[in-house]
Amino acid sequence: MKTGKEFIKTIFFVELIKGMAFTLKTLLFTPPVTRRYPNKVKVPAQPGFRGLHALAKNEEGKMKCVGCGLCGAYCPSKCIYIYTSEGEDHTKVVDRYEIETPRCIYCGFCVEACPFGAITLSEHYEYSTYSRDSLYMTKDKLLENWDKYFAGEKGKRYFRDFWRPKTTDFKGYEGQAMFKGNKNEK
Amino acid sequence: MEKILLKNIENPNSADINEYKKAGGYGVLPKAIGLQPKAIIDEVKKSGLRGRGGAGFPVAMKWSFASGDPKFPKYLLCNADEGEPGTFKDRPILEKNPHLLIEGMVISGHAIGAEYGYIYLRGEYPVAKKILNKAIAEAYDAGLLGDNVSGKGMKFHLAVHQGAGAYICGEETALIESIEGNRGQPRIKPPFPVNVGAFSMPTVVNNVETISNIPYIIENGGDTYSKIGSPECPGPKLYCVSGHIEKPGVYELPMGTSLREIIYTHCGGIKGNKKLKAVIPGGVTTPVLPPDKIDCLMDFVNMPKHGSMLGSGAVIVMDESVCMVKVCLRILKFLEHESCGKCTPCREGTGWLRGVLERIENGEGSKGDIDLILSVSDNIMGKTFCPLGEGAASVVQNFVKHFRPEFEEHIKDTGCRIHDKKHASCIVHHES
Amino acid sequence: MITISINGKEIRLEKPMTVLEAARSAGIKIPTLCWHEQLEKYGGCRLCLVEVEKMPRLQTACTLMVADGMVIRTETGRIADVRRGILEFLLINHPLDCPYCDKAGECDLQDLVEKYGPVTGRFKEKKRKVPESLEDPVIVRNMERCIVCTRCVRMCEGVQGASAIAVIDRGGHSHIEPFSGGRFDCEYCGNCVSVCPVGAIMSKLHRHSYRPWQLVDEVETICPYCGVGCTLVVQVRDDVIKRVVPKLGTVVNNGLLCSRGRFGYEFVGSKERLTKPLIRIASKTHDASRVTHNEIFREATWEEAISFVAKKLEEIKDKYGSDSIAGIASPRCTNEDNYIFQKFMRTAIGTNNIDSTARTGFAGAQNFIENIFGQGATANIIPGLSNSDSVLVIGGDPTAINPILGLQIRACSRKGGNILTIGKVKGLRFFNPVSLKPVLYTETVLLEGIVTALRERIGLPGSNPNLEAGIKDINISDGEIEKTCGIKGNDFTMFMKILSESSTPSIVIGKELVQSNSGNYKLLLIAAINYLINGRIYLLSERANEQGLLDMGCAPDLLPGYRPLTFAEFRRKYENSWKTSIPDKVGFSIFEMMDAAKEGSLKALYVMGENPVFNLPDARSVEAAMKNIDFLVVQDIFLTETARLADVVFPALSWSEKDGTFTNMERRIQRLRKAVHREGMEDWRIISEVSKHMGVPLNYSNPEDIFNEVSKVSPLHRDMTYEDIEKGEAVYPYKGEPLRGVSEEIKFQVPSSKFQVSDKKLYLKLERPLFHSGTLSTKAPALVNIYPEAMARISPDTAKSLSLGDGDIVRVSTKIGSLELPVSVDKELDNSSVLLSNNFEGKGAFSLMEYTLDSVTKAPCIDYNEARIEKVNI
Repeated sequence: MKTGKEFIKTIFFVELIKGMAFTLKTLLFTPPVTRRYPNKVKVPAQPGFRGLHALAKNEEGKMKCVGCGLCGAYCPSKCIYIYTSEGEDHTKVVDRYEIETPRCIYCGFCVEACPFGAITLSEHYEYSTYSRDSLYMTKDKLLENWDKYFAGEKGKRYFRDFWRPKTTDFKGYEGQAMFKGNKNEK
Repeated sequence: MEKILLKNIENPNSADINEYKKAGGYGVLPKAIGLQPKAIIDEVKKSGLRGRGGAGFPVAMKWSFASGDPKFPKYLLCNADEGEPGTFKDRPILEKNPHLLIEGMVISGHAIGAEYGYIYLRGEYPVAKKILNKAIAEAYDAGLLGDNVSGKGMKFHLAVHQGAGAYICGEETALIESIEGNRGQPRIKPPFPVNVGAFSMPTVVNNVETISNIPYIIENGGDTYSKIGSPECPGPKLYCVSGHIEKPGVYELPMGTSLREIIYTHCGGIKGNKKLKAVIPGGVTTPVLPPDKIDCLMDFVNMPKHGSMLGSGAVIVMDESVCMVKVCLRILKFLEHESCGKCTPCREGTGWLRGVLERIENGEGSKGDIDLILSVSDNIMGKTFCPLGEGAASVVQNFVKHFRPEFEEHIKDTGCRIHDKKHASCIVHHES
Repeated sequence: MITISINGKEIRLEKPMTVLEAARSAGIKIPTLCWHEQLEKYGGCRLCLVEVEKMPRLQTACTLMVADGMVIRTETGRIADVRRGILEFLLINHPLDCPYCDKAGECDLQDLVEKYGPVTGRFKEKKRKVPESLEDPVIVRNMERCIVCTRCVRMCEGVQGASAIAVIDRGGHSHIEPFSGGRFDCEYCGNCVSVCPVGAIMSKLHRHSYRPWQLVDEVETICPYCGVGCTLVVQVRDDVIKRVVPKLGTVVNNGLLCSRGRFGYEFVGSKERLTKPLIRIASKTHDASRVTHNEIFREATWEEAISFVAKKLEEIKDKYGSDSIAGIASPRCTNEDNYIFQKFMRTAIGTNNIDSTARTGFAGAQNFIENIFGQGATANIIPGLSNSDSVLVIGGDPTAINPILGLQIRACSRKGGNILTIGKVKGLRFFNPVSLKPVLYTETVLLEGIVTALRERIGLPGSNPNLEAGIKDINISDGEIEKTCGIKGNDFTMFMKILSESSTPSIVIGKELVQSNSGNYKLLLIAAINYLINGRIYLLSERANEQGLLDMGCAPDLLPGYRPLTFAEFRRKYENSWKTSIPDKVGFSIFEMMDAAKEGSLKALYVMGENPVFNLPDARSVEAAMKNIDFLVVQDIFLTETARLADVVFPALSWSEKDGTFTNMERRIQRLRKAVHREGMEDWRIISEVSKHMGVPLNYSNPEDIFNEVSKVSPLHRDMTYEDIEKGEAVYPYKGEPLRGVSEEIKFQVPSSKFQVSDKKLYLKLERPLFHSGTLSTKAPALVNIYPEAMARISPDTAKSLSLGDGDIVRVSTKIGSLELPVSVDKELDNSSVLLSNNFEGKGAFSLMEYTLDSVTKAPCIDYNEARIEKVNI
């Protein structure tokens, strides 16, 4: 049941006029919040931003990944596909390492799961495109990404600052096993 | 004291059957075979004889278990696998007095109802093997072994089985495995060998020394025997003394002789009149004793009261020039080498302990290492399949217990002051 | 009744068991590594230590027997410390290469460390380093990872009975090694692989190509190789079978497999598989083996090929009559395939000319024995063998033909049973057999002697007068046996003593007996022995569905459900349910088909999943017969020797690509399940399509439909459904009643003349190797790696007299042909035999063997094939 005052307000469109006035004020007298991306403004991602994936290389320039598959096992959206096989010298060879990026939720679990620091998330995030195929990351593309986004010091810094795998300092529940070794000694 | 076990050994031909018979050997055998097995067991029970292999289990009890088992055939195994470092007590019997052992085997075989006996001989005793085989052949020729022992219709066959040099085969179940032709590893107990032993038949395993006591007991009665030595575990005992001692050797003394008496009265004291530093009283795996504890009486009952064990009666005497870390390491090296590999704590633990000790000895030890070896030995203790691994753990625990400062110095000084060249100029005396 | 308490939970037990078993029965988990339910207890890993009240020391749960009133605690602080300590010990020498190790994810040690293990390691010394051993073709050993639980050794020694591996060295250096050093010289059962708790012993197949959690598709199915019918779990990733593992608790094989089952699956993904229907373009007269298949065939669409076949078959049927067409069914195909096949032949074509290679032994022998006893030849369950107190083996090595059945015989020996063998049974030679080895081709005399001796010892019971009539006049003295068979009197007496005194004997019969001279008479004698000692007969079966094939009526004289065609009653019943008429004339057996083809009266032959050109003796004349057939249709997964001669070849789906059922030799019906997807049609679907084009629709949507029809029409399968089968107890029935009743008289033929073996001559005999089965296994690379090529096996004396050594190339020739092969010296072999297998393309023993047909069993006798061996100089 409306009161008399409210009734009068409704008749004279007071609410409406108030709203229109606010709109007009904002329109004319406040600067726009929207930033014009990518034409004018381009904010660099902060270090540690979880963007496009890359496969890390070691000092010798070889892929660090051994194909253990833990990233794929952890991945909540199951978008990592790894295929390995026995190489000529009976070692394990990673034939295919593929990430279906459109399905990735950038949670970074893969990075955490990796015992070797082989899968990384770079700060690069601008890779929208018109074809799905180019979003399907293959091993070669991912290795290329490393060279593109983690070249030189940047890669080292990334591991120093942001790689916190469970295997080194993650304190699990009591009795949790860990692989402790020379892999990641600082 | 009248020698019972080492009787007649001064005679250069003591291993000969005729010499043995001349000294009264095989005299009691016909009488013993004439007795009911039960009577022999009772006599042994009266004597209070306990096994001389190290554990001191009452012999009569073991026998009555085996003879009470209805399965047939039964086996009598003589454990002559004298592998414990420092132990050489059976060797004089095997080499000088084999017929005493054979006589004891026949009587024991009769007591438990075994028709087959084996002497499981240590791999490193080739001389003893020759002598034993000769003695057994002599005994067969004399009708003391075979299908009709002494013409009394008892059947007893005896053979020597030589091991391949594994320490673990001195453990009775491993010995049985080895005799069966398997890998020498201890078996699950129970069932105990007295019920399911060699070839799954009731089996008694007795030490050489134990069996050698039997003829005397039957001849002179259990009561006479029980008056020798300690009342709880009577009889003569062979002590083998080695190390820094004036007169090392095997001594037959009554059970319960004090360690001090053995070292200073019988063996002529420490070599070169140096100061005594430590004694291992019963083979390397028994806990080491510092000098202030050598008044203990050496028998199965009193030794545990002093924190050690009689073991096989192998007394190893060490004077002040000895580095205890090195001794500990040497013992661990032996035990690591001899670990059979069946159970995890012993297989992996002995190697680990050896590794850490090696590090300490080489002066590469770090601060927490003593606690580490204690913790590792604690992880071994009470979890192993057989006593070998526990022996290793107890060695470490006791060495650290009695000589901890020496271990700490090794870590602090990054090496050993006693034998390390680096510290040669400043040899100091270690107090325990 | 024993009452114990574990962790405060009261447990009542009916019988004594170990604490561990008691805990497991109550659902309490105690961690273990060396313990395994199939193996003897060991007590080595010390992980299962538990606290028991009134016992000062911790006790190993796996060895401690429960006692009434025991109070046990498995989860205390002290126990947790112990477990952590033990796992720390295990890890000091165990490499932490889990990301690399294929076992990670299903590794017992990994799981336990993750649950109970230490957080950090304190071990600073050097780890043990042992290089990985890749010398073996199938098994990889990584002894760095070994935790010396000795499960593999106990499996090899105590269950498999191969005793091929052992623990070498002592203490921390202990590791597992095959006795031959690098390469395993064993039965390649791979059971060590399945019990290894860590990644120390692993299969080389598909190595490094999967992680256990990526094998999302796990399908329980039945082994495609022999008649035992072991349950396999096929693990698949992306439609590729990555591995085959056994499953604990299955009735037939309970966690055990043989080399073929475990390593022989790769034929499914072979590149040689047929993919499209093929239609012949070349003429038939040329030498097919010299031309590539593109020159013989052109690829066709399914529609084209099917309508072509239907049209041709119609034409031939109209022109020459139904009986000018015949069909060969397959013991490798499912019951459903075979049922549809015989229905197609009997309804769409209208003939009883259906047979299979089961005719070469199994069918005849089974029929013969069933006629005598009125019940199935192997109407006993396989695990029952191990409870026998003696097992008599004759006519083949069960450990090679039916390895898992062989294991039961070994288990019987281990339990204290006696093993009796006639002839050489290599796989049982370490199981203390009492072995009679008669001179070549004199088994008949020996068997007669056994019957004589048994009759004297036991006497005729009188319950089977027909059989007794057949054996009452046999009289062979011990002296005659010694003279003829060369068997010493003592050996024979001991053999007879055991045989006559056993109370639960079993008799295992191999195909060699059926395929030997006077096979029917020998079978009669075996039946007599069985009758006299009151035993149970096991008939070895070399193919997965040999039994099911016969049940489905793929025989010229049998209707589905093992019903004789000649009984009008039965025929009428089927006519009613199929709503058509069934010809009453008994059809051609497989050998009669070949004869008819040779003389030209057989115009068309439809072969489903079989390779008669290779799998029938006197293969060359079979080939000639096949070439003489106007229209040959072959349905197979590979372009076999027979398929090369075909006018139309249909590519079929193989095992693991289709659903269905197999019936094993003990008559257990088991489900075959589809594990991988492949384009194409199942055998039954192809046939029903052809049938549809011929105007006789066979409308089924899936195998279950077909089976439902089978269970309606076949009295053996009455009311059986897939659900029943899935429960695992579908051993079909008999319900204790004889199948057909005992026949009036037993037909058999006493051999007239005794064949004399010449000392100087060699005779070609068939080898039935453990690692191969038909040609199928030669498409599995792992099995080929183990047993790479056909070899002529000769005795050391023969080798010496011809100055031959292992690997020398020889020419083995018989009256009908010759082959050049490497030679292999077999110490177990006698001096008058040459063994050759019939597995390798172009090198089959059957191409050198002539045969005579047994008058009663209709099985081929392949004895008396004289062979010559000469060295070929290259």
